[in-house]
Amino acid sequence: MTAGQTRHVAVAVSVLAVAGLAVLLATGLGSAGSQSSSSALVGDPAPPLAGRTLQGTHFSLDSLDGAVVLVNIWASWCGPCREEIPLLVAAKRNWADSGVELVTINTRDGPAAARSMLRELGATELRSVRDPQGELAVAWGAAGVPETYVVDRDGIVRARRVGVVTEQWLREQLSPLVAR
Amino acid sequence: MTAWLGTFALALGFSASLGSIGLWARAAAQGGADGSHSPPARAARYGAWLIALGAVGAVAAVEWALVTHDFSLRFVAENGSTSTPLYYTITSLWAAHDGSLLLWLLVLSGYIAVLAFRPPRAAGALHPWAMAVLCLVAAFFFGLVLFTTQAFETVVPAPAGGPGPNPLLQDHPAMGIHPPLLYIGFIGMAVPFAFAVAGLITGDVSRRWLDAVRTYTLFAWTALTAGVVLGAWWSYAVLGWGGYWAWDPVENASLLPWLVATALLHSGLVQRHREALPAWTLSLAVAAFLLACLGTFLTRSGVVVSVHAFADSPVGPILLGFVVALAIGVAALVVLRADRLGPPRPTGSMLSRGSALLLNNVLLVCLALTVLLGTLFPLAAELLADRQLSVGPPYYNRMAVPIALVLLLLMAVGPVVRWQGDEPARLIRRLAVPVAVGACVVTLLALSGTRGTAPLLAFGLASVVATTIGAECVSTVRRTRAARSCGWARAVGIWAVRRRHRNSGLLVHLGVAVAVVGIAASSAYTVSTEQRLTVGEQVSISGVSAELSGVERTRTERVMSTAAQLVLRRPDGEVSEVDPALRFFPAHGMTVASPVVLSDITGDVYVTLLAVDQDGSQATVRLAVNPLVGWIWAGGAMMALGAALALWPRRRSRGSSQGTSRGTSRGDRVGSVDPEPASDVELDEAVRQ
Amino acid sequence: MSPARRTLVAGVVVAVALLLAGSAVWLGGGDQTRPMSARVDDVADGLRCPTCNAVPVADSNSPIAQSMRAQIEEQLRAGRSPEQIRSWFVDRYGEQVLLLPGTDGFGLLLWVLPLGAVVVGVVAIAISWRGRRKAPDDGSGDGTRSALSTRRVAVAAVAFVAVGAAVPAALWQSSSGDAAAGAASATGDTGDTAAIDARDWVRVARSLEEQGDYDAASDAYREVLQRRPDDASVRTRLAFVLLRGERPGEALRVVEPVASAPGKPDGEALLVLGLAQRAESMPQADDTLRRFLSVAPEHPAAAQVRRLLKGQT
Repeated sequence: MTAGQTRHVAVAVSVLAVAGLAVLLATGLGSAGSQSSSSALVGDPAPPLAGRTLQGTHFSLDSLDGAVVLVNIWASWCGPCREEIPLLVAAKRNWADSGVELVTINTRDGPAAARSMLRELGATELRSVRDPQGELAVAWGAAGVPETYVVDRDGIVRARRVGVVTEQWLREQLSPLVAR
Repeated sequence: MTAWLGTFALALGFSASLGSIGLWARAAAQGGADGSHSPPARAARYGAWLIALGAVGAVAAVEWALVTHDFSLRFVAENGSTSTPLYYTITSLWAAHDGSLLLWLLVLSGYIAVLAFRPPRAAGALHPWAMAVLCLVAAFFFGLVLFTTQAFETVVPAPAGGPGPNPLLQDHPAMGIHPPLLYIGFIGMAVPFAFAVAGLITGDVSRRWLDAVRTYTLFAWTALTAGVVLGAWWSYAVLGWGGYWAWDPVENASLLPWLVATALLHSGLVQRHREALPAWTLSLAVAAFLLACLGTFLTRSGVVVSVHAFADSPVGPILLGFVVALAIGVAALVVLRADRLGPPRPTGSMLSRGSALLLNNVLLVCLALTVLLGTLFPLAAELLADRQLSVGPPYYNRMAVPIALVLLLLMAVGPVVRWQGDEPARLIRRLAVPVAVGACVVTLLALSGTRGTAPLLAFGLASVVATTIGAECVSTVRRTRAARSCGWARAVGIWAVRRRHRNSGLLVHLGVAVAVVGIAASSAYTVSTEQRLTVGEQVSISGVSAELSGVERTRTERVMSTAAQLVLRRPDGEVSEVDPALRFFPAHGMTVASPVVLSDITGDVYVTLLAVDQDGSQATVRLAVNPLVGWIWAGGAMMALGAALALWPRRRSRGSSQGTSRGTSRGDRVGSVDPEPASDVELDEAVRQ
Repeated sequence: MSPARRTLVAGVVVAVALLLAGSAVWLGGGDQTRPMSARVDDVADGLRCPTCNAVPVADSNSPIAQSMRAQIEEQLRAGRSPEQIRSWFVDRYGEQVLLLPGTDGFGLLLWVLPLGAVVVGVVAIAISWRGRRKAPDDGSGDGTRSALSTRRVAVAAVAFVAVGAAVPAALWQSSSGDAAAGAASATGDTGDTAAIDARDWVRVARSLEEQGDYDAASDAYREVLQRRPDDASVRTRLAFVLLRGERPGEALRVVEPVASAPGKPDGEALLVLGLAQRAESMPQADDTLRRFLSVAPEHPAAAQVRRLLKGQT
């Protein structure tokens, strides 16, 4: 290669490198802050969910075979959960006729604190599987609390929501599953 | 009033830097050897005063508002608080995006003022061109602060108080030192950059060019090294996990210019001794500053997820434009003008100092590229392959450890080989003792139960480096003693004074070896345990035990603190009481850990409080023994000290006579690490005897 | 001793030392019975804590990271291999949970590129050695030094400023066209600045509120209202802060327009209005609170309001 050719190649390479880097960073600017909440679990069979509940009985998700199940993860130390639990209880009442069940995982929590919060909210009957070490929450792929999953009649996870659920979201997710 | 003064100061700085660009460019165009003494240059020097005045005025205005709790200023309303102690109120300036840009301006204008009034000796037309480039950079940053940030916006009506800075930024004294040091380092890279551009324009990359570049690179490198090590120590002291380097994108951003500047300092040696590689040295000078700017972009744009990023800052696109324009502009200049920088010269034969330094450059630059790649890879994966990937410590460790080990090997061999090349036989003779010492260290350690290939290699190579350095020092002193036929003490004195520049370089190398030992030991042999303790129970690991004696809660307006009181017993029978705490800052809803670290030369005992039960009867405590962590800080201190020693202007007192006797072409000698090329040859001869 | 003898001795010393050290390392690298906590950390080091910023699970004290470590320990005790555990986590958290991407497809670049850079660098050095032997330094070629003319410098400077201005301009163009993507990057037009501004104020107000400084918080909320006068939720929030700051009269005036706005009544506003009326001992307080209960029976405060009303009658 002559000096001239080398120089042209060098020009091309450096301009391409700078331009590529610039495009990359510019795209990054555009999408900064966007965090997807899609879960790898959606479309897969629901992970096992069994254990002692806050009420002292044993519960297993298998016993709800054939139902559409809302699985919610909460803890008494989580502020938004306090808002969400009444919403979930109401949803269970409204959708009970359509065969929707509600199961919650009480994660990394003391049973006394959890029970007293449920008493305060008037939801002592809430079916809550105890998960003191948080392993159940991890098995469901949770990143924080609250999180809610929708499991269809075949036991497949259909949706996940990070943060407090809304009535509209529940309607959107549950309606098509219940209809079948 | 404060707001008005601040805005005025910014506007002053902005227009002064714009004007100075033109004046310096004129001075440069009138050129000649005394470009710096022409009328436009004299006027431009006043410009430098005005730029400095603008930056100082803006910073002073914000500081005044912070200290007097003037919440009518938006920056104070968002970052000030009446309950923050004075020290952290002052440091609040750089706790948020707007204010930290003001600190950036202050440092930059400081460099401009120093360079305007104390130009590198005999820099000729290089100086005004470099000043024009620096003023351009200053104009950009003044404009950025003036037009895009809201540093001096006012709030009507003024709120009665503010939340104060982020708790992590008002909890440790390093807040006052670490960010300014980093800024001095980052922005210091602008000076070599400016001289690189000036070199490209004038075609002058002679010895005087190199001296200017080396002096300021070394200065910035010193600050950056101290800043990075201090930052690591800060993370270690507050994050509660015993980690000091997390390969976080923003940490990487501070490492990148450091790596490139290190390469630059070494390639400068090649250029000094062989007059080779001017274009490469120049490219490194450019790259160091571009990477510093890229780091600022990453920190302030939200492009990468990081603990250290400033939230919600609007300057991303503008900074990106600046970095891209600089990169394209200078890349074009380098490519088009590189062959005008002097004839190509050889760096030396295969077994020569030049080759070792070249290899060092290749490895440092490859390491920098790897870190950059890892930092930007998640972004690229999402853009090009639509995949969400993470790149974290396991990747960086896997890539950096082998490169670092080879670099360590080069550090052992490099200073021993001669510039003019060596026979393998001679090298073997010279390296026999250090290699034997290193091998003994490795063997003894392995026999005494130390496991792991990488750490053992690191210990071995570090001892080879240390032995080489020790052997060189001893043999030089011995030679001095023989030559002068004087006593040991006097010989050591002569050696320390006469060879200060080479010694300071060796001290930096020794510091690296010491730090490597600390890093290898602490990352491989740290043990920790975590336990929930009831009062009276104890947790123990490798002979150290901690017994919970109680939990204490205290509360002030600013912070609620929960401390676990523990009695710590060490294997040597020493008993001490420690109280690691969790500090909750209600204004931010944030909890910050305050671990207790007990250090000695063998390592640290590190106690963290993780959680406390509501009734205070139980506490979850993490107890860790981190071996040799102190060595990292000691090594870092040696590196910074060595570099500072090299910078010390030793010839100022008798400078003028020296300058004339040696001729002006040698330029300013400040910061040249090894002013006597002959000394290496002398040394070689001395050792051979 | 002759140089040759000394070289021989030195060579033997080096060879023996290296052999010794090599075998020691090799023997030492073998058996490793690591304690459970270290084995957990080995796996946790390679997993990313999903709620933190690029922090390994091993180095985080967040609840989820603690749970993940518990999960890892349980699976290790059950005899699963680190690789199995990693893929178990990928199934649940996606491949971004791995801090060391796989070497398939795109991930391969992460390993190939640095290696390629090292190879290129070493080859370049090798060429420089060869070039040295081939072409002795004669100072020929176009290596003559020359300065750039001032005019060219001026042209370059203008081009530089143009590029520097073009990039942000292009970015703003695209981001103001694409509203969804533009959320994060600040745009130049005033509407957006006001929005960002108001958001900042909400942040300030919230933190002041949490601090319990209700007077300052109410000032901050008023700032927000100046920028977004139609925002009912901010108005309600302001009234709530005033109420907590024991200024029920002002709260009443602020929230009244929201509570009596046409359309479906706003539960939150009714709650604040009712509480403010109670504090002012106005007779219609109980009515307002009952309306609140009928509108928002599920509201977190509903139970307390019921108790309040019950306690009164």
